[in-house]
Amino acid sequence: MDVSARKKLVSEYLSKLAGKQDLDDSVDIFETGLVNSLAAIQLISFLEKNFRIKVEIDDLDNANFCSIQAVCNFLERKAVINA
Amino acid sequence: MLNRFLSPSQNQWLHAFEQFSADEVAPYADEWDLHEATPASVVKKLAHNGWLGGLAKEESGGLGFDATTFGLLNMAIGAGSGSLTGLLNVHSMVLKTIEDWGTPEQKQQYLTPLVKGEIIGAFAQTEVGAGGDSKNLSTQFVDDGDALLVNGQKTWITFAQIADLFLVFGKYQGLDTAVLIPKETPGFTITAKKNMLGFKSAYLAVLDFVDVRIPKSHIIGKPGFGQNLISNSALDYGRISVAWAALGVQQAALAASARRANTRSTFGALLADQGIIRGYLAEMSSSLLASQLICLSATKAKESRDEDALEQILQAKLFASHEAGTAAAKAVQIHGGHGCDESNGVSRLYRDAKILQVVEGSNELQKMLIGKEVCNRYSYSAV
Repeated sequence: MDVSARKKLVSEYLSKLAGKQDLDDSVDIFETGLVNSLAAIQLISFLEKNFRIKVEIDDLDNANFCSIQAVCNFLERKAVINA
Repeated sequence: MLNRFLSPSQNQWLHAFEQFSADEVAPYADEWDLHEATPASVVKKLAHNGWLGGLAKEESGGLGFDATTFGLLNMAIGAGSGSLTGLLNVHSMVLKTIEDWGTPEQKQQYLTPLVKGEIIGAFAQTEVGAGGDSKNLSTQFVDDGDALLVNGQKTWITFAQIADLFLVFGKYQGLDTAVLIPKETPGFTITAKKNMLGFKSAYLAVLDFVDVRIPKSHIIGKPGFGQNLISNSALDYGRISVAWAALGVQQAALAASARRANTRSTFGALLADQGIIRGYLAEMSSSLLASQLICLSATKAKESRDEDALEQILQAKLFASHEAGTAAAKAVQIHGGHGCDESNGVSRLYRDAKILQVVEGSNELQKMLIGKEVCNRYSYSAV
Protein backbone atom coordinates (compact mmCIF):
# COMPACT_ATOMS: atom_id res chain seq x y z
CA MET A 1 0.00 0.00 0.00
CA ASP A 2 1.48 3.35 -0.96
CA VAL A 3 1.69 6.33 1.35
CA SER A 4 -1.35 8.15 -0.02
CA ALA A 5 -3.60 5.07 0.08
CA ARG A 6 -2.47 4.46 3.64
CA LYS A 7 -3.26 8.01 4.59
CA LYS A 8 -6.70 7.83 2.99
CA LEU A 9 -7.58 4.69 4.94
CA VAL A 10 -6.32 6.15 8.23
CA SER A 11 -8.10 9.44 7.59
CA GLU A 12 -11.41 7.69 6.87
CA TYR A 13 -11.14 5.50 9.92
CA LEU A 14 -10.16 8.23 12.37
CA SER A 15 -12.88 10.51 11.00
CA LYS A 16 -15.41 7.76 11.60
CA LEU A 17 -14.03 7.09 15.07
CA ALA A 18 -14.22 10.77 15.94
CA GLY A 19 -17.62 11.21 14.28
CA LYS A 20 -16.28 14.23 12.45
CA GLN A 21 -16.23 14.81 8.73
CA ASP A 22 -13.16 16.47 7.24
CA LEU A 23 -11.05 15.78 10.32
CA ASP A 24 -7.89 17.84 10.07
CA ASP A 25 -4.68 15.81 9.78
CA SER A 26 -3.10 17.40 12.80
CA VAL A 27 -6.07 17.54 15.21
CA ASP A 28 -5.35 15.65 18.45
CA ILE A 29 -8.40 13.41 18.81
CA PHE A 30 -7.65 12.61 22.46
CA GLU A 31 -6.84 16.13 23.57
CA THR A 32 -9.94 17.55 21.91
CA GLY A 33 -12.17 14.89 23.47
CA LEU A 34 -13.43 13.76 20.06
CA VAL A 35 -13.06 10.10 21.01
CA ASN A 36 -13.94 8.21 24.18
CA SER A 37 -11.75 5.86 26.15
CA LEU A 38 -12.62 2.93 23.91
CA ALA A 39 -11.05 4.54 20.87
CA ALA A 40 -7.48 3.50 21.56
CA ILE A 41 -8.26 -0.19 21.57
CA GLN A 42 -10.41 0.12 18.45
CA LEU A 43 -7.71 2.09 16.69
CA ILE A 44 -4.98 -0.39 17.57
CA SER A 45 -7.12 -3.33 16.39
CA PHE A 46 -7.78 -1.46 13.15
CA LEU A 47 -4.09 -0.74 12.56
CA GLU A 48 -2.97 -4.28 13.38
CA LYS A 49 -5.60 -5.84 11.14
CA ASN A 50 -5.34 -3.52 8.16
CA PHE A 51 -1.61 -2.85 8.10
CA ARG A 52 -0.37 -6.21 9.36
CA ILE A 53 1.70 -4.73 12.12
CA LYS A 54 1.95 -5.63 15.78
CA VAL A 55 1.64 -2.75 18.22
CA GLU A 56 4.27 -3.42 20.90
CA ILE A 57 4.65 -2.02 24.40
CA ASP A 58 7.31 0.43 23.18
CA ASP A 59 4.81 1.80 20.67
CA LEU A 60 2.39 2.81 23.43
CA ASP A 61 2.73 6.54 23.24
CA ASN A 62 -0.10 8.98 22.61
CA ALA A 63 2.19 10.72 20.13
CA ASN A 64 1.80 7.67 17.86
CA PHE A 65 -1.99 7.64 17.83
CA CYS A 66 -3.31 11.12 18.54
CA SER A 67 -3.95 12.39 15.00
CA ILE A 68 -4.16 11.28 11.37
CA GLN A 69 -0.66 12.56 10.75
CA ALA A 70 0.70 10.91 13.89
CA VAL A 71 -0.76 7.53 12.91
CA CYS A 72 0.62 7.83 9.37
CA ASN A 73 4.07 8.67 10.68
CA PHE A 74 3.85 5.74 13.07
CA LEU A 75 2.85 3.35 10.26
CA GLU A 76 5.69 4.59 8.15
CA ARG A 77 8.19 3.91 10.93
CA LYS A 78 6.71 0.45 11.52
CA ALA A 79 6.79 -0.33 7.79
CA VAL A 80 10.42 0.71 7.57
CA ILE A 81 11.28 -1.40 10.58
CA ASN A 82 9.36 -4.40 9.26
CA ALA A 83 10.69 -4.06 5.70
CA MET B 1 -30.26 -24.06 19.54
CA LEU B 2 -26.79 -22.64 19.82
CA ASN B 3 -25.23 -25.94 18.76
CA ARG B 4 -25.93 -25.48 15.07
CA PHE B 5 -23.76 -22.35 14.97
CA LEU B 6 -20.78 -23.91 16.72
CA SER B 7 -17.80 -25.73 15.27
CA PRO B 8 -17.33 -29.41 16.22
CA SER B 9 -14.62 -28.40 18.67
CA GLN B 10 -16.79 -25.69 20.27
CA ASN B 11 -19.60 -28.21 20.60
CA GLN B 12 -17.27 -30.65 22.32
CA TRP B 13 -16.14 -28.00 24.73
CA LEU B 14 -19.72 -26.98 25.42
CA HIS B 15 -20.61 -30.56 26.25
CA ALA B 16 -17.69 -30.80 28.69
CA PHE B 17 -18.54 -27.43 30.30
CA GLU B 18 -22.20 -28.34 30.73
CA GLN B 19 -21.38 -31.73 32.18
CA PHE B 20 -19.02 -30.12 34.68
CA SER B 21 -21.56 -27.46 35.63
CA ALA B 22 -24.31 -30.04 36.11
CA ASP B 23 -22.09 -32.30 38.26
CA GLU B 24 -19.83 -29.91 40.14
CA VAL B 25 -21.54 -26.52 40.24
CA ALA B 26 -25.34 -26.45 40.01
CA PRO B 27 -26.06 -28.90 42.88
CA TYR B 28 -23.99 -26.82 45.33
CA ALA B 29 -24.55 -23.23 44.18
CA ASP B 30 -27.32 -22.44 46.69
CA GLU B 31 -25.17 -23.67 49.55
CA TRP B 32 -22.21 -21.56 48.37
CA ASP B 33 -24.54 -18.59 48.09
CA LEU B 34 -25.81 -18.99 51.66
CA HIS B 35 -22.28 -19.37 53.04
CA GLU B 36 -20.93 -16.55 50.84
CA ALA B 37 -18.00 -18.76 49.89
CA THR B 38 -16.77 -20.87 46.99
CA PRO B 39 -14.88 -24.01 48.02
CA ALA B 40 -11.23 -24.25 47.00
CA SER B 41 -12.00 -27.70 45.59
CA VAL B 42 -14.12 -26.38 42.71
CA VAL B 43 -11.51 -23.72 41.91
CA LYS B 44 -8.89 -26.49 41.82
CA LYS B 45 -11.05 -28.57 39.50
CA LEU B 46 -11.45 -25.64 37.09
CA ALA B 47 -7.68 -25.16 37.20
CA HIS B 48 -7.04 -28.88 36.76
CA ASN B 49 -9.19 -28.89 33.62
CA GLY B 50 -7.10 -26.01 32.29
CA TRP B 51 -10.15 -23.77 32.07
CA LEU B 52 -8.77 -20.98 34.28
CA GLY B 53 -6.10 -20.59 31.61
CA GLY B 54 -8.42 -21.47 28.76
CA LEU B 55 -8.11 -18.09 27.06
CA ALA B 56 -4.31 -18.10 27.12
CA LYS B 57 -2.54 -18.98 23.89
CA GLU B 58 -1.19 -22.50 23.54
CA GLU B 59 2.40 -21.19 23.52
CA SER B 60 1.65 -19.71 26.96
CA GLY B 61 0.50 -23.13 28.15
CA GLY B 62 -3.21 -22.30 27.74
CA LEU B 63 -5.93 -24.00 25.73
CA GLY B 64 -6.14 -21.19 23.17
CA PHE B 65 -9.90 -20.76 23.53
CA ASP B 66 -11.46 -18.43 21.02
CA ALA B 67 -13.86 -15.77 22.35
CA THR B 68 -16.90 -17.96 21.67
CA THR B 69 -15.48 -20.94 23.54
CA PHE B 70 -14.68 -18.67 26.48
CA GLY B 71 -18.28 -17.46 26.25
CA LEU B 72 -19.58 -21.03 26.25
CA LEU B 73 -17.60 -21.75 29.42
CA ASN B 74 -19.15 -18.73 31.13
CA MET B 75 -22.61 -19.68 29.89
CA ALA B 76 -22.40 -23.25 31.17
CA ILE B 77 -20.92 -22.25 34.53
CA GLY B 78 -23.38 -19.34 34.74
CA ALA B 79 -26.32 -21.73 34.45
CA GLY B 80 -25.00 -23.34 37.65
CA SER B 81 -23.59 -20.39 39.57
CA GLY B 82 -23.32 -16.75 38.49
CA SER B 83 -20.76 -16.14 41.22
CA LEU B 84 -18.35 -18.68 39.80
CA THR B 85 -18.33 -16.89 36.44
CA GLY B 86 -16.84 -13.96 38.39
CA LEU B 87 -13.69 -16.04 38.88
CA LEU B 88 -13.43 -16.88 35.17
CA ASN B 89 -14.02 -13.22 34.42
CA VAL B 90 -11.44 -11.48 36.61
CA HIS B 91 -8.78 -14.18 36.41
CA SER B 92 -8.98 -14.21 32.61
CA MET B 93 -8.75 -10.41 32.43
CA VAL B 94 -5.52 -10.38 34.45
CA LEU B 95 -4.09 -13.30 32.52
CA LYS B 96 -4.87 -11.80 29.11
CA THR B 97 -3.50 -8.41 30.15
CA ILE B 98 -0.17 -9.95 31.10
CA GLU B 99 -0.11 -12.12 27.98
CA ASP B 100 -0.89 -9.17 25.68
CA TRP B 101 0.92 -6.30 27.38
CA GLY B 102 3.28 -7.76 29.98
CA THR B 103 7.06 -7.47 29.81
CA PRO B 104 9.07 -10.69 29.33
CA GLU B 105 9.90 -10.56 33.07
CA GLN B 106 6.24 -10.13 34.08
CA LYS B 107 5.26 -13.01 31.81
CA GLN B 108 7.98 -15.22 33.19
CA GLN B 109 7.02 -14.51 36.78
CA TYR B 110 3.23 -14.62 36.56
CA LEU B 111 1.84 -15.97 33.30
CA THR B 112 2.45 -19.68 33.76
CA PRO B 113 1.16 -19.81 37.37
CA LEU B 114 -1.96 -17.87 36.27
CA VAL B 115 -2.52 -20.17 33.30
CA LYS B 116 -2.18 -23.23 35.52
CA GLY B 117 -4.41 -21.67 38.15
CA GLU B 118 -1.66 -21.99 40.76
CA ILE B 119 -2.27 -18.35 41.54
CA ILE B 120 -5.51 -16.40 41.11
CA GLY B 121 -5.66 -12.96 39.51
CA ALA B 122 -8.12 -10.17 40.33
CA PHE B 123 -8.95 -6.95 38.51
CA ALA B 124 -8.94 -3.92 40.79
CA GLN B 125 -10.37 -0.83 39.17
CA THR B 126 -13.55 0.16 40.99
CA GLU B 127 -13.50 2.71 43.81
CA VAL B 128 -16.37 4.05 45.90
CA GLY B 129 -16.20 7.30 43.95
CA ALA B 130 -15.29 5.86 40.56
CA GLY B 131 -16.72 2.81 38.86
CA GLY B 132 -17.27 3.07 35.15
CA ASP B 133 -16.21 6.72 35.48
CA SER B 134 -12.62 5.56 35.70
CA LYS B 135 -11.10 8.92 34.80
CA ASN B 136 -11.75 9.92 38.38
CA LEU B 137 -9.74 7.19 40.07
CA SER B 138 -8.18 8.48 43.27
CA THR B 139 -5.64 5.68 43.82
CA GLN B 140 -2.20 7.27 43.48
CA PHE B 141 1.15 5.86 42.39
CA VAL B 142 3.99 8.18 43.49
CA ASP B 143 7.69 7.94 42.63
CA ASP B 144 9.91 6.48 45.33
CA GLY B 145 13.28 5.80 43.68
CA ASP B 146 12.99 2.73 41.50
CA ALA B 147 9.63 1.94 43.08
CA LEU B 148 6.14 3.37 43.34
CA LEU B 149 4.30 4.15 46.54
CA VAL B 150 0.67 3.12 46.22
CA ASN B 151 -2.08 4.76 48.27
CA GLY B 152 -5.80 4.29 47.82
CA GLN B 153 -8.77 2.01 48.26
CA LYS B 154 -10.58 -0.31 45.86
CA THR B 155 -13.94 -1.85 46.58
CA TRP B 156 -16.30 -4.60 45.36
CA ILE B 157 -13.31 -6.43 43.88
CA THR B 158 -14.45 -9.84 42.67
CA PHE B 159 -12.68 -12.94 44.05
CA ALA B 160 -10.26 -10.67 45.87
CA GLN B 161 -10.58 -12.71 49.08
CA ILE B 162 -8.69 -15.61 47.49
CA ALA B 163 -6.69 -13.79 44.81
CA ASP B 164 -2.89 -13.73 44.84
CA LEU B 165 -2.15 -11.09 42.21
CA PHE B 166 -4.03 -7.84 41.60
CA LEU B 167 -4.09 -5.65 38.51
CA VAL B 168 -4.57 -2.25 40.14
CA PHE B 169 -5.53 0.92 38.29
CA GLY B 170 -4.63 4.43 39.44
CA LYS B 171 -2.86 7.65 38.57
CA TYR B 172 0.89 8.03 38.08
CA GLN B 173 2.04 11.57 37.37
CA GLY B 174 -1.55 12.30 36.39
CA LEU B 175 -1.62 9.46 33.85
CA ASP B 176 -3.92 6.42 33.98
CA THR B 177 -1.67 3.53 34.88
CA ALA B 178 -2.02 -0.17 35.69
CA VAL B 179 0.28 -1.96 38.15
CA LEU B 180 0.60 -5.58 39.27
CA ILE B 181 0.51 -5.92 43.06
CA PRO B 182 0.95 -9.31 44.79
CA LYS B 183 -1.19 -10.10 47.83
CA GLU B 184 1.66 -10.34 50.30
CA THR B 185 3.03 -6.84 49.67
CA PRO B 186 3.41 -4.91 52.98
CA GLY B 187 0.80 -2.18 53.47
CA PHE B 188 -1.78 -4.02 51.35
CA THR B 189 -4.82 -5.37 53.21
CA ILE B 190 -7.83 -7.27 51.90
CA THR B 191 -11.13 -7.12 53.80
CA ALA B 192 -14.06 -9.38 52.91
CA LYS B 193 -17.19 -7.60 51.66
CA LYS B 194 -20.26 -9.45 52.88
CA ASN B 195 -24.02 -9.17 52.44
CA MET B 196 -24.09 -8.18 48.80
CA LEU B 197 -27.37 -8.51 46.90
CA GLY B 198 -26.07 -11.15 44.49
CA PHE B 199 -22.87 -12.86 43.42
CA LYS B 200 -22.71 -13.74 47.10
CA SER B 201 -20.08 -16.45 46.75
CA ALA B 202 -17.86 -14.34 44.47
CA TYR B 203 -15.57 -13.43 47.39
CA LEU B 204 -15.87 -9.66 47.01
CA ALA B 205 -13.46 -7.56 49.04
CA VAL B 206 -12.22 -4.07 49.82
CA LEU B 207 -8.52 -3.44 49.11
CA ASP B 208 -6.57 -0.88 51.10
CA PHE B 209 -3.15 0.37 50.03
CA VAL B 210 -1.18 2.38 52.54
CA ASP B 211 2.31 3.33 51.32
CA VAL B 212 2.55 0.05 49.44
CA ARG B 213 5.97 -0.03 47.81
CA ILE B 214 6.05 -1.79 44.46
CA PRO B 215 8.90 -1.88 41.89
CA LYS B 216 8.30 0.20 38.76
CA SER B 217 8.89 -2.97 36.79
CA HIS B 218 5.37 -3.95 37.89
CA ILE B 219 3.77 -1.31 35.68
CA ILE B 220 1.86 -3.00 32.86
CA GLY B 221 2.16 -1.48 29.40
CA LYS B 222 3.06 2.15 29.86
CA PRO B 223 1.79 4.96 32.08
CA GLY B 224 -1.02 6.77 30.28
CA PHE B 225 -2.48 3.63 28.78
CA GLY B 226 -4.00 2.17 31.92
CA GLN B 227 -7.55 3.05 31.07
CA ASN B 228 -7.47 3.61 27.33
CA LEU B 229 -5.87 0.36 26.45
CA ILE B 230 -5.14 -2.01 29.29
CA SER B 231 -8.48 -1.76 31.05
CA ASN B 232 -10.59 -1.63 27.91
CA SER B 233 -8.88 -4.53 26.19
CA ALA B 234 -9.26 -6.63 29.35
CA LEU B 235 -12.87 -5.52 29.75
CA ASP B 236 -13.64 -6.90 26.31
CA TYR B 237 -13.27 -10.32 27.89
CA GLY B 238 -14.97 -9.19 31.10
CA ARG B 239 -18.01 -8.09 29.14
CA ILE B 240 -18.01 -11.29 27.09
CA SER B 241 -17.95 -13.19 30.37
CA VAL B 242 -20.92 -11.22 31.73
CA ALA B 243 -22.94 -11.42 28.50
CA TRP B 244 -22.54 -15.17 28.21
CA ALA B 245 -23.05 -15.74 31.93
CA ALA B 246 -26.37 -13.93 31.42
CA LEU B 247 -27.26 -16.60 28.86
CA GLY B 248 -26.66 -19.22 31.53
CA VAL B 249 -28.93 -17.36 33.95
CA GLN B 250 -31.65 -17.14 31.30
CA GLN B 251 -31.35 -20.84 30.52
CA ALA B 252 -31.58 -21.78 34.17
CA ALA B 253 -34.56 -19.46 34.72
CA LEU B 254 -36.39 -20.90 31.73
CA ALA B 255 -35.67 -24.52 32.70
CA ALA B 256 -36.78 -23.99 36.30
CA SER B 257 -39.94 -22.22 35.15
CA ALA B 258 -40.88 -24.91 32.63
CA ARG B 259 -40.34 -27.63 35.25
CA ARG B 260 -42.49 -25.68 37.69
CA ALA B 261 -45.20 -25.20 35.06
CA ASN B 262 -45.25 -28.94 34.40
CA THR B 263 -45.73 -29.88 38.05
CA ARG B 264 -47.70 -27.14 39.79
CA SER B 265 -51.47 -26.74 39.50
CA THR B 266 -53.65 -23.79 40.48
CA PHE B 267 -57.43 -23.58 40.23
CA GLY B 268 -57.53 -27.15 38.98
CA ALA B 269 -55.20 -26.67 36.04
CA LEU B 270 -51.47 -27.21 35.51
CA LEU B 271 -49.56 -23.93 35.12
CA ALA B 272 -48.38 -25.39 31.81
CA ASP B 273 -51.96 -25.33 30.61
CA GLN B 274 -52.60 -21.74 31.61
CA GLY B 275 -52.24 -19.17 28.87
CA ILE B 276 -50.55 -16.51 30.93
CA ILE B 277 -47.81 -18.89 32.07
CA ARG B 278 -47.29 -20.18 28.54
CA GLY B 279 -46.97 -16.57 27.49
CA TYR B 280 -44.24 -15.98 30.06
CA LEU B 281 -42.38 -19.08 28.91
CA ALA B 282 -42.71 -18.03 25.26
CA GLU B 283 -41.28 -14.59 26.04
CA MET B 284 -38.40 -16.09 28.04
CA SER B 285 -37.60 -18.56 25.30
CA SER B 286 -37.67 -15.89 22.58
CA SER B 287 -35.47 -13.58 24.64
CA LEU B 288 -33.01 -16.42 25.21
CA LEU B 289 -32.80 -17.08 21.48
CA ALA B 290 -32.22 -13.40 20.70
CA SER B 291 -29.61 -13.15 23.46
CA GLN B 292 -27.77 -16.21 22.17
CA LEU B 293 -27.57 -14.72 18.70
CA ILE B 294 -26.33 -11.32 19.84
CA CYS B 295 -23.67 -12.94 22.05
CA LEU B 296 -22.59 -15.26 19.28
CA SER B 297 -22.38 -12.39 16.80
CA ALA B 298 -20.26 -10.37 19.25
CA THR B 299 -17.73 -13.12 19.93
CA LYS B 300 -17.49 -14.03 16.24
CA ALA B 301 -16.79 -10.33 15.53
CA LYS B 302 -14.11 -10.36 18.25
CA GLU B 303 -12.49 -13.43 16.70
CA SER B 304 -12.47 -11.83 13.24
CA ARG B 305 -11.19 -8.55 14.71
CA ASP B 306 -14.08 -6.78 13.02
CA GLU B 307 -14.16 -3.03 13.47
CA ASP B 308 -17.50 -3.14 15.23
CA ALA B 309 -16.49 -5.96 17.60
CA LEU B 310 -16.23 -3.67 20.60
CA GLU B 311 -19.63 -2.13 19.99
CA GLN B 312 -21.17 -5.56 19.50
CA ILE B 313 -19.70 -6.77 22.79
CA LEU B 314 -21.15 -3.75 24.59
CA GLN B 315 -24.52 -4.47 23.01
CA ALA B 316 -24.36 -8.16 23.91
CA LYS B 317 -23.57 -7.30 27.53
CA LEU B 318 -26.38 -4.75 27.67
CA PHE B 319 -28.99 -6.91 25.99
CA ALA B 320 -28.23 -10.31 27.52
CA SER B 321 -27.96 -9.01 31.09
CA HIS B 322 -31.17 -7.00 30.71
CA GLU B 323 -32.99 -10.06 29.40
CA ALA B 324 -31.51 -12.18 32.20
CA GLY B 325 -33.08 -9.80 34.71
CA THR B 326 -36.44 -10.00 32.98
CA ALA B 327 -36.32 -13.80 32.70
CA ALA B 328 -35.28 -14.26 36.33
CA ALA B 329 -38.09 -11.94 37.48
CA LYS B 330 -40.61 -14.05 35.55
CA ALA B 331 -39.14 -17.22 37.03
CA VAL B 332 -39.63 -15.83 40.53
CA GLN B 333 -43.21 -14.88 39.66
CA ILE B 334 -43.96 -18.35 38.31
CA HIS B 335 -42.53 -19.90 41.49
CA GLY B 336 -44.54 -17.62 43.78
CA GLY B 337 -43.48 -17.78 47.44
CA HIS B 338 -40.89 -20.47 46.70
CA GLY B 339 -39.22 -18.11 44.28
CA CYS B 340 -38.94 -15.50 47.03
CA ASP B 341 -37.14 -17.87 49.41
CA GLU B 342 -33.49 -16.85 49.68
CA SER B 343 -32.36 -20.45 49.73
CA ASN B 344 -34.11 -21.19 46.46
CA GLY B 345 -32.02 -21.19 43.28
CA VAL B 346 -34.60 -19.07 41.49
CA SER B 347 -34.12 -16.27 43.99
CA ARG B 348 -30.36 -16.53 43.42
CA LEU B 349 -30.84 -16.20 39.66
CA TYR B 350 -32.88 -13.04 40.23
CA ARG B 351 -30.25 -11.51 42.52
CA ASP B 352 -27.32 -12.52 40.31
CA ALA B 353 -29.04 -11.18 37.18
CA LYS B 354 -29.20 -7.74 38.77
CA ILE B 355 -25.46 -7.86 39.43
CA LEU B 356 -24.83 -8.70 35.77
CA GLN B 357 -26.55 -5.43 34.86
CA VAL B 358 -24.23 -3.46 37.14
CA VAL B 359 -20.75 -5.00 36.71
CA GLU B 360 -18.16 -4.43 33.96
CA GLY B 361 -19.70 -1.06 33.23
CA SER B 362 -23.30 -0.53 34.32
CA ASN B 363 -25.88 -0.91 31.61
CA GLU B 364 -26.34 2.86 31.68
CA LEU B 365 -22.64 3.21 30.83
CA GLN B 366 -23.03 0.64 28.02
CA LYS B 367 -25.86 2.76 26.62
CA MET B 368 -23.76 5.93 26.77
CA LEU B 369 -20.90 4.25 24.91
CA ILE B 370 -23.12 2.53 22.34
CA GLY B 371 -25.15 5.71 21.81
CA LYS B 372 -21.96 7.64 21.08
CA GLU B 373 -20.89 5.01 18.53
CA VAL B 374 -24.30 5.24 16.86
CA CYS B 375 -24.10 9.04 16.68
CA ASN B 376 -20.61 8.88 15.19
CA ARG B 377 -21.73 6.34 12.62
CA TYR B 378 -24.62 8.43 11.35
CA SER B 379 -22.70 11.67 11.55
CA TYR B 380 -20.12 10.18 9.23
CA SER B 381 -22.45 8.40 6.82
CA ALA B 382 -24.36 11.64 6.21
CA VAL B 383 -21.52 12.78 3.93
